[in-house]
Parts: sequence; structure tokens; C-alpha cells
Amino acid sequence: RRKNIMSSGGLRISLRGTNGKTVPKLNIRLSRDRKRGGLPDNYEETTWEKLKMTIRAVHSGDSVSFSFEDLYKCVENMVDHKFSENLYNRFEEECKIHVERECEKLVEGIDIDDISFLSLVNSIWEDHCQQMILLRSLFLCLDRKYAHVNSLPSLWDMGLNLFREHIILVDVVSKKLLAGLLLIISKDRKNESVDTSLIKNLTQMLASVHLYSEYFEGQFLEETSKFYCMESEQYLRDHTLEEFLNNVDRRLKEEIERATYIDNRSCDRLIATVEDVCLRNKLPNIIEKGFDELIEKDKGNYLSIMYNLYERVDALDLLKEAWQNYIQVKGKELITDENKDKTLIQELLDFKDKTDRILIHSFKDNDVFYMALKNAFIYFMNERLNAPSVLLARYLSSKMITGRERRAINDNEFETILEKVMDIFKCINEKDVFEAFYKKDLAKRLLLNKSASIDAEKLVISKLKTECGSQFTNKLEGMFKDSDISEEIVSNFKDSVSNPTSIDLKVQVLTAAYWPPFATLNVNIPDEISSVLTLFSDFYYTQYNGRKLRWIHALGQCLLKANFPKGKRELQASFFQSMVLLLFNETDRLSYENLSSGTGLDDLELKKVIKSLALGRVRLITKEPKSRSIEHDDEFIFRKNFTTRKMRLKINQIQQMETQDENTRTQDAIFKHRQYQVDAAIVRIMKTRNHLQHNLLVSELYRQLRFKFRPIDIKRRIERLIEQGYMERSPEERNSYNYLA
Amino acid sequence: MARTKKRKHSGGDKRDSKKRRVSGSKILKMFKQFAGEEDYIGPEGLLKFCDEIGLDPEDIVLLVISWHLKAEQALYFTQEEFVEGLQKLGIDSIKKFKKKIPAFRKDAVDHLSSIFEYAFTFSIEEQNQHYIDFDTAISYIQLLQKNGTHTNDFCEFLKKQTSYKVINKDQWKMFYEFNNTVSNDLSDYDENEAWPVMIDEFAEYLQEKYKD
Repeated sequence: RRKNIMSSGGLRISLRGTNGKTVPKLNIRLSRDRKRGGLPDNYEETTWEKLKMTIRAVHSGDSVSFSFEDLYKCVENMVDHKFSENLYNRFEEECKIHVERECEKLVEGIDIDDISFLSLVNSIWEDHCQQMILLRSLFLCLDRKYAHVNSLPSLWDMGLNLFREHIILVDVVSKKLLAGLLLIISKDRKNESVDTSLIKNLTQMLASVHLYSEYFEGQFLEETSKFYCMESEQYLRDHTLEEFLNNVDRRLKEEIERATYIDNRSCDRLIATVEDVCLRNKLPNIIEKGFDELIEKDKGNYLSIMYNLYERVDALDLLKEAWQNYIQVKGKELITDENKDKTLIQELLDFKDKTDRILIHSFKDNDVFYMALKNAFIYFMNERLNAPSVLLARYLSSKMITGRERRAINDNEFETILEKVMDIFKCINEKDVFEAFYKKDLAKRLLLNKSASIDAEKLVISKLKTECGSQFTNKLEGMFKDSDISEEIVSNFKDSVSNPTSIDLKVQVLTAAYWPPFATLNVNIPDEISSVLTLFSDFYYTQYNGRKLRWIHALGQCLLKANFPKGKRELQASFFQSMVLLLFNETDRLSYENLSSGTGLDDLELKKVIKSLALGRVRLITKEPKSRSIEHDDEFIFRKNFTTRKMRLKINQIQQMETQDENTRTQDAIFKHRQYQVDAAIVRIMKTRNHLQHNLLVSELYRQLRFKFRPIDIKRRIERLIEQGYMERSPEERNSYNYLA
Repeated sequence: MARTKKRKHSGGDKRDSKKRRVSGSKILKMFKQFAGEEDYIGPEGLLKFCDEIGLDPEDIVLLVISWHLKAEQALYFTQEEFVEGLQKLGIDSIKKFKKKIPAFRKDAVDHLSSIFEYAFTFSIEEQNQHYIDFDTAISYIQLLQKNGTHTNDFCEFLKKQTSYKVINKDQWKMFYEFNNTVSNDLSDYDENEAWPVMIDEFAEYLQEKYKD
């Protein structure tokens, strides 16, 4: 029995039974076409011809006469029978020839316009790709079993390499291709209609052949740079800042878009290039062009754009500097224009509103910008001494006093106004000036009962206290306490008086230390009044031994009961006005001199009082001769026939305007207090240091004292302290002082 | 041994010997010669004294003597001042006084700063006064700072003054320093130093005057 085992191709299985008997043989034959080494001799050449024809057909777009399976098998056979290498090389050769022929097409068409050239390149490329795909699927075995195994370029890659070397890198083609691409992109940027898919295809082509970065990208970025450099310079020169900003903003967005059809890998570098030429190289110029105007004209949206742009290029510092500078300059302008004092505070509040708004709306409430705003305000608010504090105090006071203006504001509005006033207040160094003037107006309000709302008053004080500490609001609070205590005292006084007098007296007792300095005028008080006042003083002294009372007649008010022939009336008048009117109790006609000696008022005050009675809205006396001013030889006649419909009439007092005198007195008080502070500071410093050079003492004072002072003032205080024996000039060291215990 | 003790002793001996060279009683006698009945030598007595010594009453030496005697008030020497002062100086006779005059003149140069300062205190007439009037100031400045750099200008400045009427001790002393340290052209003057305000104003005056 023969064992028949076929080699290379067939397989015979023979089975034998175990008892030695033969089992009928089973022949399983797996048939293969191949015989052992059994390809025809010229198999390679014939097959190659077939394949070559196919390749050429594919390349020329003709139909292929063989079936896919057939061709595929051919390739497979070739590969299996070790004809791969040849096949591979021949394949490559065919492709190369084809590619070179394609290139000729391009070279022939080299003079067509650049854009059409691009289309041509594109169509060649697309053909190439399609053809290669087809060929690759046919020659798949070659790819997998030969190329891959031997680390040779895959057929696809081979195709790409050929395309690269024999088309793109051909000198004339490469130049025109590059030029065309840059041109089409440029047109795109100029908003001319272009086929963006063409661009995309070509850049992808370049990427596929690994030429994107080295051949194209560098040039592309450079062109981008040139393009935008020119454009942004032109915009900066010929257009407004708003247009410039819009343009940059738009262009950046565009380029991000554009990167999607050029190559997303370039996106970052592309944006960076645009940012460089449009922004980074021009940061100060852009600011200079019109940042200030944008703020001036409150163009929040453009400021937003600008902020965002500067943020992108990490240049917010520059913007912040410009912001701070603008506020400082503008603020200083506002504050130093003395002609605008009447509206200064309102303008400052509006200015702060505006800058706050811009900070939040356009600058994203950035902390650094906030600090810049704050510092700028602090800087310019103190560029002018005195007036800002005074005006601010006056402004706030005007919102506290009863009247039409106050009635128009409700509580919420008042609180808002107060908040804003406090914001400005915090920036001022000379807070003592504010306190002195606010106190003066508060005193008037409390004494003349003109405060619109006690709650509002207390709110103001609590805010001042929070800001400056209780020592600052000490006196203000004391004034309120005095008012309360006075009520008690007056009620006790009334209880104590056995015979109620014909004059109903109400007294406000003021602790001098708390209240602003009032002048005491010596006047001739009518007897009836003077006796009541004495009665009160006597009572007071029994309660508070050791204190001294000083009457401030200028602030007195009277309710006069007048018996006119035409009917009884009540007149509400100031004390001085009352004194003048009471003089007419004796006679109807009095001269200026009479009034002067009768009241004992000085000319300035007397003229004011007479004017309010003779030339105001309500005329109780007539002046002879008629004129607008009060003269020493005038005579006055009581208007007996005076009548009014109101039962109680208030006579306007022309005392609303701040007298120069008042102003001066307040300033003096501030000045004296400051001197005291300087002295105390010097003594304190010298006591700690024991020995100190003059210039070090001065600089230490600068550090400690909140208000500005001149070196000459310090010298004067030092000389005073030397005289008083607190310190001496150091005998050991020039320009120094020693503390004397 | 007890050497150091001996030394101290000898020092004391030396002092004693000096003292012994001056007679306390002679001094007292001299005092009474000029004081008369009073316990002080007044202006008249001083005139006599000057006569005896051969001194012009305007002479600076008189000031120097007062300075040595630590006299509290110009034109007056109390007994204590006179007696103690002369003992320290080692003078007990007119003759010795006359001999000392050259030394006193030298003192006026060597101790000028101290004497200048002294001139102020000794010009004060009232108890709690802390200033002297300009006339007095000017005469002493001219006496003691005859050839000072800024003497004439300062006296002029004082005469033209409207904001000050008197000068205090601090200003007086600092004027001396100014006159003796600051040059003609004010190149070493700095207003940021610790000069009193009056001196700063004087410097301003000089700058205005010598603008060219």
C-alpha cells in the first residue's frame, strides 16, 4: 500500500483501519491551480503586460478590460512567486512616467493666470488621488506583503513622493503654485469671491506631500504679516480708532475661520502673526490715537473691544496706565477750574459714575483697573487744597436741608447720593476741612430746625464714623446730644419758674467744644428779653455750677405778636430783626442812626437786617429815600397798614449766604487745630527718637500728618517748641535737635 | 603708699595757694569802693570803675569782664558776682585788673561765640522776657561781629523789618552761626536745613539784594 501524499498543491488523506484491513481510500483533494513551481515560464512578463495596460488605462482614464478579481489574482501570484521587487519597481516607473507627463501639462499651461493654474493643479491632483486609490486596491498584495514587509514606501506614499518630486517641486510649477495660493488667499482677504474649497484642497495636497510647512506655511505667514501690517497702518492713519478696533476684531475672527480652510495647524501661528502686526507693534499708538476720546465720549462698546484685544496680547498694563492717566488729567482739570466751583461736586459725582460704569461694563471690573481708578481719584482730588473739601461738605449739606430740592429726593435716592459722596470723600486727604464746614452747616440746621430728616443726619454720621473713626465724628455726635439735653433743661427751667413770664423761652445749650465757633456780638437787648435770659442763666448756674454761658444772639429767633390796625398777626423773625422792629414800638419813624444806637449792631449786620425788613418780599418798614441800598442818612417808617392773609408770617432772613467772616473763622479754626496736631506730632517724634536731624524730622512728619504743610510752617512750630523748652538745637551735631525731657 | 592721696592733696594745695594769692578782703574793699552803700555796683559805680581801670565804657572788655563775672544784668554787678568772679580770675587790685586787660581782649576773640550768646541774656531787662529789641541787637552785633560777613546786611535787614519787632535767643544764636559759616555768595546755604525762619528770610533778602 502506497502512501500517496501530494506535495505542494494536493492533499491526499489515506485512512487505515486498526485491524489491518484496508479501508477504502478516501481521496480528498484540495485543488489549487498551481503546480509545484508550476507557473508558465513567461508568466511574469505576460502578467506584467496585463498589469501595465491596466495601469496605463487607469492613468488615461480609459476603461479596463480585465476584471478586478483577475487583476487582483495576477498581483497576488506575482507577489507569491517572488516577482514583487520587479513588480514594485516597474509599477513605480509607470507612475513616474505618468506623473511627468502630467507635469508637462502644467508646464505648457504655465502662462495662464494664477488662479486658473491652481484649478489645473487641483484637477491633476484629484485625478492622481483617484487613480492611486484604484491602483492601490488592485495592487493591495504588493503593498501589504512586499512594501510593508520590507519597509518600503506604501504604494500610496510612493505616489505622493512622485507627485511631490515630479510635479510640485518642479521649479516653474512650484513658483507659480505658491504665487497662486498666496494670491487667492489675498483676494479672499480683500473680500473678493474665491473658491475656498480650492484653497482647502490645495493646502491639503501640500500637507499630504509633506510640503505644507517647509514650502508653504512660512511664506503664507509672511504674506499675512505684510498684508495686515499695511492694512492696520492705513487704518491707524486714515480711519477713526473705532473703525480700527472694529477692523482688528473682525480680522481676527476671520482668520480663525480662514484657518479652517487653510490648515488648522497654522491657526495659532496665524493668529499670533495678525496680533503682532495689528496690535503688539502698535500698542502705544493705538492708545494715543483715541483712547481718551473713547472714554470722553463714553463709548463703552469700543472700550470693551479694546480691552479684549489688549488682554489677548498681554498688554493690559499699558491700557491701565492710560486709564489712570486719563482720569488723573481730566479730574485735575475739573477740580482746578475755579470758575466751575458751583457745579464741581455734581460734575465729580457724574465723572465717578461714568468711570465706574466703564470699569464694570468695559473693563470687566478688573481689580488692577479698579485700583488705578481709585489711585487716580486720590491723586487729583488732592491736587487742589481746601476747596474740594469745602464744596463737598456744602453739597452734602444742601441735600440735608428742608426745602424743595430735598423734598424731590426719596430715601433710597438719598442713600445712593450719600454713597457716592462718601466715595469721593474717601479720596480726600484734608478730611478735617470737610468736618469743619459740614459741622458748621449742621449746626445751622440743628439750631434753625432746618434738618430734613434726623435719620438721614444720623446715617451720614455713621458713615463718617465707619470711614474715619469715632474721634472724627465725636463733635458731630456731641451736637446731637446737646440738642437732646437742651430740651430737658428747658423743660426743667419752665417747671422751676414760679411766675410764667410773658415771654415763652426756648434755649439751646451748646457745648462750645463741639460746635463751630460762633461770634458773640454785644448788642442792646431789650429789657424784657434780657430779664428772661438772666432768669434762665441763673437757673442754669444752679444746675451746672462752674460753667459759663455765652449768648449767641445772631442765631436767635423770635415769634412776635403784632397788633396791626388791620388785625393781629404773628411774625417769625430773627432776633436781630425783632430788635429793630421792637424799636418801632415807641415811634413810627426812625433814622439809621437811631436804629444803630438802639440795637448796638455793627453796620454790616444792621444793613443786612434793615434790608430784609425794608426791601425783601415782605416789607414791614419803608425806606426813605427809595433806593436799593441802605445808607447812613436813610430814614425808616413803620408800615402800620401792613396786612397779610397768613396769620403767622415768616420774614425771610438774608443770612443764607455764607459770610466771608464765617468762612474765615472756620478756616482759622482748622488752621489752629492743625498747628496743634503738628506740635503734638513733633513732640511725640522727638520724645521717641531723643535726637533727630532736621530733614529726618520733616520727612517723618510728612509720613504722619494727613494734610499738606509747608516746610516753613514746620520750622515755625519747631522754633516755638524750642522757645517753650520742649526741644533744643543739638550742640553736638549741626542741623539736629535733642528732646528735652 | 598713699601717693594718689598726696597728689590730690597737692592739687588742692595748688588751688589754695592761688586763692591765697588773692585777698578776699581786698576784693571786698574794691567792691565797696564802687558799690557805695548798695550791695551792687550800678551804672554810676561802673563808670567810676571804668575810669579807674582806664577803660572806655563802650569797650568790649567791659562785656568780657561781665561775662567772666556771669553778671545777670548789664550795667550791674552784684556783690556775689563781683567777689566770686574776681576770685576766680585771681584779681584783687586795680593794678591786677589793668594787667589783665590784654588777656580780656584775647578772650573776646577766643571765646567770641560764648560771649555773643551771653550778650543776649545779659541784655534782657525784664524777668520773663525772652527777646531783645532790634536796637540793642544791632549795637551788640556791630560790637561783637564788627568784621562779620553778613553783619552790615543783617543790621540793615533788621532795620527794614516789618514782620518781626524783636529777636529771640534761638534766632540770635543762629545768626552767629550763619554769620560765621555761610559764605558771601550763599553757596553753602541750604534752606532745607534747620535754620530759623527769620534767617531763611534774611537769606532771601540777601539773594534779592545781590541778584546780579
